[in-house]
Amino acid sequence: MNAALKRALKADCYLLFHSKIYWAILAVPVLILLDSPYDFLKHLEGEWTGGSVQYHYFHSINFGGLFGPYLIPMICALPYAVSLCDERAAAAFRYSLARGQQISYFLSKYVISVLSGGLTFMLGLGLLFILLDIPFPLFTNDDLGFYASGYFYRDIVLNAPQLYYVIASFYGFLSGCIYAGFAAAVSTITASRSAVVTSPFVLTFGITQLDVLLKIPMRHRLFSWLSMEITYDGLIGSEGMTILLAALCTAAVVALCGLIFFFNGRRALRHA
Amino acid sequence: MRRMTKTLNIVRVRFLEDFPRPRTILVFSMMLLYVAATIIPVREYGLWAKCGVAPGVFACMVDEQFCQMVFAGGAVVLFSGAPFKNGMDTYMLPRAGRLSTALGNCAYLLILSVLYVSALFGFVLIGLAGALDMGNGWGKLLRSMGNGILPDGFSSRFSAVPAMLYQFDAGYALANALVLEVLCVAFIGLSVYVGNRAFQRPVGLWLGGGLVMLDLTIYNMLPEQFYTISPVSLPRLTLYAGNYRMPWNNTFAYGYLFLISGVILLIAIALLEEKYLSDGRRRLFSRKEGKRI
Repeated sequence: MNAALKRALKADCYLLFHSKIYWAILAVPVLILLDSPYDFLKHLEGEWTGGSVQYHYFHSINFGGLFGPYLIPMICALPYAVSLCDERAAAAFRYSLARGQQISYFLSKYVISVLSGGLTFMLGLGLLFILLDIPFPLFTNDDLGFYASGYFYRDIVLNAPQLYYVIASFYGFLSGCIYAGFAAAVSTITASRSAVVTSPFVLTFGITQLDVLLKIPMRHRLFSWLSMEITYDGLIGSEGMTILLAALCTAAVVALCGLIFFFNGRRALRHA
Repeated sequence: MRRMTKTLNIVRVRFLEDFPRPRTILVFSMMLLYVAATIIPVREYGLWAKCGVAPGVFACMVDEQFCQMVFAGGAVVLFSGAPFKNGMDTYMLPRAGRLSTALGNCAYLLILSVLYVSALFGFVLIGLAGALDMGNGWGKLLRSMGNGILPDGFSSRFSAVPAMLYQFDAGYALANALVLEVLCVAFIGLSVYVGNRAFQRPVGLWLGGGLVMLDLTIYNMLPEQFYTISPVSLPRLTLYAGNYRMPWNNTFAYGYLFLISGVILLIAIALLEEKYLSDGRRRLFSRKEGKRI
């Protein structure tokens, strides 16, 4: 790693830890719980039985939630993906570049944006699982019966239930990387902060509609792998194969967004 | 007359400046995608069953909570550029005056609301091409959907609520759904405009987002009475047909009164704000002293 890249990474990390990342991480569990607030309160009060970590995660991310699937993508763009917009608005773009190299500047900014998005989602999910694990079990007997009857992730849930949540967090990381990478790519096209923050929402919404229109089966959709769509055949091959393919597809999407970020960013710089 | 000319000129400028922005194109294309993905399964069902789909299907779509939320969410994004400040304001404001500018902006928002809802309805008609049945009331297909007679593997994002189908005539329901939807979109647009303008921050955007989510929040955790104050819920005709009674004997009159008076009130606030500023007084809702544009 050359010195210029090291310096750029250090500066970007500093900015990241002084950004809204902590609030963004806290927003993830709040949004997921907002998808079933009534159930959550009833479970907490003990009026209803059947509350589990799986129940609330499943009802938000997997089964018709709105706040979780549609607002979390925007939250992932908040910590750092908008930084290029901010620098352009503050006219700090050229000064930052004058101190280092173009490649180091864009590479460092993109890597930190992508990682910040991934970490926001992953740590947010981790926080949710830990907090929910205090009053509720990981899986109720009904949940276990549901998985035992032949649904996906059966062996993992029955033998190592904690691993299920580790995988869910890993998928969260991959999704966050895609959302933040896409938002960073959009930030080279427009200087509008709100447009950049909403772009991951537009991405998920648009892709969902296109998938439905083109009648792409659930088992061939990247976002259904990433949200662990167990009820609609959201697996391709075995669980391990799905994880591998999801990671490879995510890497491809992130690399593509990275190329757009670099080339469009250079063009924006020339016009600055 | 002079004010009218200035207002119309502002509307013209907004259509030339704000309308062709990528945001508008994005919203319309996303709505086209959404409507197509929603309506095409129904069209295929209609073609398979050899019975046409009535245009009243739009009233059923508006009636569905999630569809209505998507339409209203699209409106929030569409109007997110309000109060449409740009570099031209420095030259336009002294010539047109604050009141005419605000009137022009409100008129632009109202016209855009009509265009938006017309486009949604147009997308539905285009999506039904080949399976559209113009003269058959609700049509056989929607009545079958209402009665739960559906072929295997058919899944629709919206349902036809029997109470609505049996209580209202199709044309009457469609006309009311269209007008109430236009008023609802205009209400959201004006809320975004007034909020953003009065507070000089994206308060209006949050307010618009809140109005969109209110419908779902009521469904999830609030008493049904709150539907009477939720502008996004009021175009949903089931609320006037089912067990839940809206004020004024369950007639549409309440929905119209609420939305029209809301639109008028928001326009009045927008004009009052400009009047205050032109008189040299401070802003109505914000103490922040910014650039007085």
